[in-house]
Amino acid sequence: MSVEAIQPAPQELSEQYEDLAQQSEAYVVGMWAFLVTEIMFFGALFLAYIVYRTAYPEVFRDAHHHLDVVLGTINTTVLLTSSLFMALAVHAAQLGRKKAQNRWLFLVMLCALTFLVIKGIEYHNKYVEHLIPGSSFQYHSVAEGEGGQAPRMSAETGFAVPQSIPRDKAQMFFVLYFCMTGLHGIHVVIGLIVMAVLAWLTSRNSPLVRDYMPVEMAGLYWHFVDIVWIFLFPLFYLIPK
Amino acid sequence: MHSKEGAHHITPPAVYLKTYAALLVLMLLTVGVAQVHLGPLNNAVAMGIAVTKAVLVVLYFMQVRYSTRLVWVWSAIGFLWLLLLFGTMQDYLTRPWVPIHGW
Repeated sequence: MSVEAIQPAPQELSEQYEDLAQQSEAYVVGMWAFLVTEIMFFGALFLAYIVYRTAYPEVFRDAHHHLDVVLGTINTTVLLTSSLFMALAVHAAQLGRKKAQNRWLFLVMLCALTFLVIKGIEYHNKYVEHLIPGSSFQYHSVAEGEGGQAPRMSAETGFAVPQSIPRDKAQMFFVLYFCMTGLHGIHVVIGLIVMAVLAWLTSRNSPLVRDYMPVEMAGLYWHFVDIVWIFLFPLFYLIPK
Repeated sequence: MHSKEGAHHITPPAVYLKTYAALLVLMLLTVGVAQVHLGPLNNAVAMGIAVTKAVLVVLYFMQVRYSTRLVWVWSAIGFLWLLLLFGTMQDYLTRPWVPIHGW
């Protein structure tokens, strides 16, 4: 592995740069500057989440039981796996192995599609359960009825926790859930399009992708999308008892 | 400032595989810990694991560890700014300390 990995694919130097190192750095810093705006973009939503979860901790704890932890865990695995494939696609691109690069990109796209399908199933379940925010929103506490589950006990008092979860506050949980996972989903779709275009250009031997940096930049974007999900997953699916 | 020999760093695939394995272990850990009652520690552990995973992704998958100082600065600045934004929580958290009518 290590011997063959030393030889990177040749790059062309654009005239405005001193050398290749400077050119590559410009690529990476430019991409990171974009990612910083993305971090702030998602950051505002994360702050909104923190504000409401601090205000209504018991509502969030109750409402999160409507999310499927198993599907969430599968989706996290799918996305982490796609990030590995993306890293390997970038690796192949850096060595100038265009065919291998496209094969990895195809696997990443497959993972992204799987992620979106699972997310779609989850959204559909929420739709069936009337948990989409809006006039048809209906909330029923999970701990209360369903299948003769015993009401949860309070850790402090040992008595059953009163399960009167206000509809509007529960709705807020789902507003945040759909806004944040929806925005993340849009990013997955954009990533999918970017990778499809890159793979198509590469297969056509386009001069636009003669350099491997475009693939590497797509990789940075995709790993960022992965990071967002790394935080969304515990915040929505794993609220502790 | 530029990386050694002016050449772009190429991370060996083994590093990616190890990172991936670590990420999967951390994910299973965070799912497991959520089933155990630890009180307020639960949130700290979940967020600690999430931050660790994010750092692993940034350092190895995004290759920041092998990048120039300038890239280090840019990759950190967004998250630092985020902390500043989250600092506004001190307002929400401390407001009930001094009850003001109408707030």
